[in-house]
Amino acid sequence: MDRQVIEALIDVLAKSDLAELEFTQDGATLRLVKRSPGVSDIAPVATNAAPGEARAAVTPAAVPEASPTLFRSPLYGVVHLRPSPEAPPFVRVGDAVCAGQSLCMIEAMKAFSEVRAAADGVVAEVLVESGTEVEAGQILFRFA
Amino acid sequence: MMFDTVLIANRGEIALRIQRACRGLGLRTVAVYSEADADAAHVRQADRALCIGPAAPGRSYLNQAAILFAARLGGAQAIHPGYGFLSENADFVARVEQAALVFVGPSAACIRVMGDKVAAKRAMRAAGVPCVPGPDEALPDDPAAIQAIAAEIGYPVIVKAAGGGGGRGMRVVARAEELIEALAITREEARRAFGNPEVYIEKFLTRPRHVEIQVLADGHGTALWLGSRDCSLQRRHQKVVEEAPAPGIPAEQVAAVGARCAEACRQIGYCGVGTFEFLYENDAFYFIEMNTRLQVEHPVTEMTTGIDIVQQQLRVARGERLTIRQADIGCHGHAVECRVNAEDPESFAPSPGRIGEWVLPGGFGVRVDSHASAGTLVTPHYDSMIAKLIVHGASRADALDRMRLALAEMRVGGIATNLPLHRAILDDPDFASGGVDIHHLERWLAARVAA
Repeated sequence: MDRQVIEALIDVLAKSDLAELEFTQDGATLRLVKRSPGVSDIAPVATNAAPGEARAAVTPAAVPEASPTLFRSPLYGVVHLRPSPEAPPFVRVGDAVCAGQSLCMIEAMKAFSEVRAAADGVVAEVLVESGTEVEAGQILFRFA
Repeated sequence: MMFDTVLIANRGEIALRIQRACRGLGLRTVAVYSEADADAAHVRQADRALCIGPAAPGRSYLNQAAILFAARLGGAQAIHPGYGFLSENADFVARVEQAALVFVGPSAACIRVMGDKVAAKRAMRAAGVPCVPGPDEALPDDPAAIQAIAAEIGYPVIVKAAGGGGGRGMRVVARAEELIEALAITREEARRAFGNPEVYIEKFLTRPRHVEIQVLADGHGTALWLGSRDCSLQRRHQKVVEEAPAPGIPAEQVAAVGARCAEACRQIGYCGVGTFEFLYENDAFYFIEMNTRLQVEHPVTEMTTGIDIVQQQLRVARGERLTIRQADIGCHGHAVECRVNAEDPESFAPSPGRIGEWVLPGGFGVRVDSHASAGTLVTPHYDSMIAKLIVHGASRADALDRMRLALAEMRVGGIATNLPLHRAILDDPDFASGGVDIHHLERWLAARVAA
């Protein structure tokens, strides 16, 4: 699903008085849910029609099923795109990755969790900056 | 020396604990905080509060220049480091001293000696403190000479980094043919992790307990020991439950080793609070390292001695003479502390997030040291401890009963916590009978998974 389409849909939902919006295209379904005020702004939630691809969700309420193109953070923490400050990044745009390959590390409370690719793919976009805080379910990478 | 304003260079429960001690002594406080801690209780209650940087510790709580600048700006003449962060950083202490400020803790020189585990062992032996068998000097280069040392100690031995501590930079060696390679690996790891490749070897004790002695020393030659703590319940070298006194160890034996610790403080010119950590096996104490700071588990000793350790720490930093005498220090009843962490009680995965329900236990003999409350955001940037639940009882059995009730009362919603783990530990018959070794909790967890 095109990122511009998703962003346009988010805008549509934000300006409307709808609480929820579902959009299906080419077998992929996008569901956008507006949370009640004070919780957070719009949380995009993508679901995938293909069965058996769901990753183990650390926070079940916040982490949706896997998507073939959008890779989300399994937990709330600080994302690190390099194994150490001097080392090259785990993955770069254009890299072909295999299922199980390390994509990044998420640091939470002095513990580092290695985050691995759920499926084979090519990195199309890195959507976060190393060292920044990411929410559980926030999109980290887009795969082509 | 006589400061009236203290900068608290820490966060979380310990920042609040230090602030309470300052207020009890009529001292003003300056809170420094990261952007993630702007809403913290101690920040709201401070006389001055200054933001020193973003959430990442390296850019805030470890930013020495920012903290020193904040002290000047906030009119603080003293800096209390708490535990962790800069509390055992000798270079920071030297900068505090150069800025003509008081560091609430020992001198940079004392921290340097104790930070080098080989130098620390040498100093302890000189003061008659019992140490783990093994040399207190750097290893020779000759492999045959190293083999001879290890053979004399007897296998298994443990290779440790001089710059390590707290369970980091160690490797157990079971047989002579593994020794030289283990040394090389540990040296390389130590060089990278601590900037110091020096390693030493000791006898590896297979089933020790972790027993430690709290000390308190002033700058006028008085050093006291405040009793023992048992912190054997650990997971991955992290303490989970602590208690005072260490159960089942004769009082005279604790008094003898306590007196040696106090003597060591006098010999090295130690001023402040500190902890001598020992392994305890086959009825004997073996020194492993000294922590030159206030410790997380200090409250259990406060409960059994009736001494406010943080207030005393501030008093001796002000240059006051200790008025407590060793003969006045008793050990009354028994105290237990559970570290409540934001983590999954089974997988131990960290569980940052916003706290919903927050119900604290109370009643006679129950104390909770915590910075958290309903609505507090537990951020992923710092460690996972959200509260210390401390109980005091007339006896160990009484304290354990009180802890069971307190754990049953306490409820935390919105995030996962290790409260269920603590409840299960308090129901473990081995723990309840007292004196389990440092591997007990991990064995118990493994058995629980297998069951």
